Amino acid sequence: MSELLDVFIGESRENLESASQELLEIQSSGPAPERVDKIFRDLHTIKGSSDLFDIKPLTRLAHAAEDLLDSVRANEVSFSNDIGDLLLEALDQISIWFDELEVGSQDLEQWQPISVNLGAQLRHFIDPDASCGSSNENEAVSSKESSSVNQNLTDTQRELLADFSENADLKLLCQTYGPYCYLIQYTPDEGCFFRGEDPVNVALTLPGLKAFNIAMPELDHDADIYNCMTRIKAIGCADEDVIKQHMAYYEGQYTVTFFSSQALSASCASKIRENIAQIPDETLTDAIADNNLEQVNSSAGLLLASQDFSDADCDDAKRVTLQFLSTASELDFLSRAEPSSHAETAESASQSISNEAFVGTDDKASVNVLSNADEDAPLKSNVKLADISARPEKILAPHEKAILTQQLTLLNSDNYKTELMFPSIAGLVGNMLGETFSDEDTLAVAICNALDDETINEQADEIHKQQSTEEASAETTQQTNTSPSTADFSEINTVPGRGDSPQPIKAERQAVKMLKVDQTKIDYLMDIVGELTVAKNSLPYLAKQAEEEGGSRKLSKQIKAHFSIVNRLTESLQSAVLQIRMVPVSHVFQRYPRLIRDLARKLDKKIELCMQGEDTEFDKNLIESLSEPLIHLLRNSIDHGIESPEERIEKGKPETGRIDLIATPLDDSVIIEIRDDGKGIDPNKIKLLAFQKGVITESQLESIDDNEALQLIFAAGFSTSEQVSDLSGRGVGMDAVKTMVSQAGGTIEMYSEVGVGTTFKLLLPQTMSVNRVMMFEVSDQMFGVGMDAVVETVKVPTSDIQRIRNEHILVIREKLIPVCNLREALGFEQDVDREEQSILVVSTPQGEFGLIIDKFHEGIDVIQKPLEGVLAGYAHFSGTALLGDGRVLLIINVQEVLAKCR
Amino acid sequence: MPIAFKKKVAVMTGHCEIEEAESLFTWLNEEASRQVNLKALTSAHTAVYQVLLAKKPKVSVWPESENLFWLIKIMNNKSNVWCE
Amino acid sequence: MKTVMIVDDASTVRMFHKMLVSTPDRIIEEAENGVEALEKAIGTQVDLFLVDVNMPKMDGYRLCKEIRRNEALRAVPIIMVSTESANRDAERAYQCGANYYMTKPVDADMLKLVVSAVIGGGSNE
Repeated sequence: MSELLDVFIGESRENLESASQELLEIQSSGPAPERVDKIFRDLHTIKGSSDLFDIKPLTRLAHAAEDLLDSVRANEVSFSNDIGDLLLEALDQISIWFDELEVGSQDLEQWQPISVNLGAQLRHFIDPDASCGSSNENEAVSSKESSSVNQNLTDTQRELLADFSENADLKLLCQTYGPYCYLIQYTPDEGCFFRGEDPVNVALTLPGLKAFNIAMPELDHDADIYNCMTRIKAIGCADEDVIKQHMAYYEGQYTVTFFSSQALSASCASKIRENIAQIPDETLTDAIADNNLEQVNSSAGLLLASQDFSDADCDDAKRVTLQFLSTASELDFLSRAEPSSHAETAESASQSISNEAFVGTDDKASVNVLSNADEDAPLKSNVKLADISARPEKILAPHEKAILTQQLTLLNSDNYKTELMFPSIAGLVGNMLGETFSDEDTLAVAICNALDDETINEQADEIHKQQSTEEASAETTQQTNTSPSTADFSEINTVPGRGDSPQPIKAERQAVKMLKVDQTKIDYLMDIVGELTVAKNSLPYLAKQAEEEGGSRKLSKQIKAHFSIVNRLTESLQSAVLQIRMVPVSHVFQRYPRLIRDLARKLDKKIELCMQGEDTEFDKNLIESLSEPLIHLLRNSIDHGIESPEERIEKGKPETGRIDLIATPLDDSVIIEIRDDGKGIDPNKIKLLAFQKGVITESQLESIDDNEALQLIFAAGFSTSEQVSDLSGRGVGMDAVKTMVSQAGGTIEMYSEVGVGTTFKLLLPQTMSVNRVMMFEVSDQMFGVGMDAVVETVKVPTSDIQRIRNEHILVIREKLIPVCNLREALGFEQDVDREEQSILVVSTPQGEFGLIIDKFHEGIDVIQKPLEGVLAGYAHFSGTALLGDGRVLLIINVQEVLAKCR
Repeated sequence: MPIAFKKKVAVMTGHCEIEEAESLFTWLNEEASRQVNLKALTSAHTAVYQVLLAKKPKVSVWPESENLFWLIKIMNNKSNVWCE
Repeated sequence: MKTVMIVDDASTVRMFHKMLVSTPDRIIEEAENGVEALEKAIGTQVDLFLVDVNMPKMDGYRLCKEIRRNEALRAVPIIMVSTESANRDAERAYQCGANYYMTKPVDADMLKLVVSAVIGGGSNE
């Protein structure tokens, strides 16, 4: 739904913008109708769309502004600068609300009074006399004109009225003015007093209040009288807007239903007729028959004055009836609703539709539905027909009934024109019922049949056969059969609500557009996240400090609590940002085929590159930093691995060499393999070379196994190539590849079999994840070392460090641990002799080592970044991280440092 | 003082705020025969009405204020009040 | 495949209605006003119009009339969805040739049901 909100805010801002501009234009150059119209339309759009969201105050304000502009448009109100200013104010207010909506900080409770206030000011221009709410009579009268007899009360409304009090409908009718009545059930929350609410007085000031009752349970002696137990029901005459505005603060505590006064009078008609029949007064009955209003008024008034109404119930009804008749201004409805025996079927059918279809959803809608079938002569015969040849189609859901009823109404309406309306009605009904129609009569009959539930069950089987011939009906029949009539409702309630909604929403999601963002922005975001990560790490220290120095345990606890929140948020933020940066490896891989083709051609070799797993996702920065080493490895394979075609044929291999480039996700890592089917590497040759170049010692030359020997090609200053190929220029050796890979947090291994081929296997983290590093100090500078590598920290007397041959050795728990002085390795001055040394014991593939440092510090989470600029050449650092205070932390590459040390 | 508690009668005057509800309730609970004088009462908070309607004490003098016509009716067990 | 054309000048409302009525077996067309709707509808197969009342250029009422006057489109059912709740508006919509009238903001489930009832498919399955 938030996408919808985004669209809404975006669109509405445009509307606001355009409306403001037009308003300013109008203020400077007068109200041109098309400008007013444009502003009206803008506000109308905002109002209409805002209705989709639960932001009532905004909707109401936009509505008020729209109404004012409508009046201006219709020349009922002349535009003034005051109006312009107020409208601009309203637009600004709406704009402010959009700002809040956008960041999610909206507070509807706060909006409400602003909305009411501005709305009232706007409406004041429309009708200066209307004291807020008490009457909208002018408007009411105007809207009366076209309202027709197609209205009635729903059953629920009738029940509510009857429940309110006996003859409540009649009594209300006596007093109605304006087109709309309401019935409100106001059940304040128990705790409402504590919010400063005063329900009874709220109810007493309801606009157009006609009657109310207050229900109050007996209170025990120990009852809490500050719990509100009052239940209020009230009826009166006022427009929906006015009531909703009045009750706006009490949303959720009340239910209200609205009905038109016409509907009320229509539903009272029979009751009035009944009562009239019981009043034995010829003057009155004659006057009514003659529709002589004056006479009715006066004779009813006379009767009212002279009658003795000491009798209880039934006379109450009579009295009210007379009261009504004595003041009635219109009696047409009495004769209009006279039930005709022919139309009864149609009437009852449509009535039940209006009730069933919309109870609880929308009362207004139900008012529209009822047909005026009884007035239409041709239909009566149809309905009659329907009774005889009843051939019902299927069980209808309430909404289907409502639709069908409307079509029937359309068919019978005064301005029905066959040529214009028949095709769509016939098509629609045909589609619903699975039939085709050629003329109005059969169509009307079919609708009436379909609407008539009663006979369905008996004849369901028959229809079955008929319908199965038509494609369109197939589905509907199925639905009919699977759901018995009682299950119908539950199906309607549940199916569309839950089961169906995910689907369209999903479809919507797929349409979401990609956003192209400058990578530097994301990198910047990443930097900030990194800093945030570090900054949040200071909170536990603050907490500790608060407890130790400030002596406030409570404060310390609060800080810790906040830390856990900030920590969680930072982590989510981090992973979100990391997700943004994920790209498929194809991003880098796609450059290679061409590279390989060019290289192969240059060397007169035939090589085929096979790539797999190109859609494996990878952090963009990581993959870019890997591009270089991968190229180097590929070159290596082409240059030294794959043999020339002649050589290959000689060895019985296919002429074309093959290089596989495979990316495979593995948990949080990705394995990248570069495999060639070339000549392979001879471990003995490597051993020898390594010895010659001083990479390994003589003793190692003998003890090292083949696999270890192969890994020697990654050692610094090693190159197997006997003659320097022009391709492996740039001075990048395998050691550089290894450095780059380990800087990216990965590892690299090589496997090779002479004559079969060589495989490089890179294991890389999928994201630039957060590393926990241990901080320590050497020569007043902070350094870090990956927490994974740290085994323990010990402090030993300097004398414990022994010198054996060329190495410093420390014995910890009977284990010999070579130690390395970091001051020396990092090129700092030697420290004055200390009595005690801090040793950081780290584990490496070569075993445990001790690093002599100056001082231990805490461990922190950092996002490690590769070395840049001048530092890039220093292999003994694996990367840098930014500290909370802006300092850069250098992270030690333990293996490199140890190599230097020895 | 919107409510003056005398020996047998509580005299309610002007507008009675929500704070009065509790003392009125306690006072009425103490003895069933206690009465209220509403002569000068003009309006009250729902909580105060709630006490009056729930306890329905005997009323020594009914309110003069026209605004409270409904209170008279409801306290006389008429469930519905029509504004006429 | 059934085609529903949603005609409303507010893109938010169009999106909302689209979310409600789109199913895999329906094509949703959108138009911002009556003129655009007619232009798009003529020459395409449209099975249902979902029409707003108040729109610039050509409002919903006129669009209904135009659709009914157009021989190719005449048989296409029209559901009008409007913010105007007054009866006169429904009345007018029906006079202009709408087959059904619903008040905005429409009850989401009701709109789905009505659309499915009229053209089939959707939540009926």
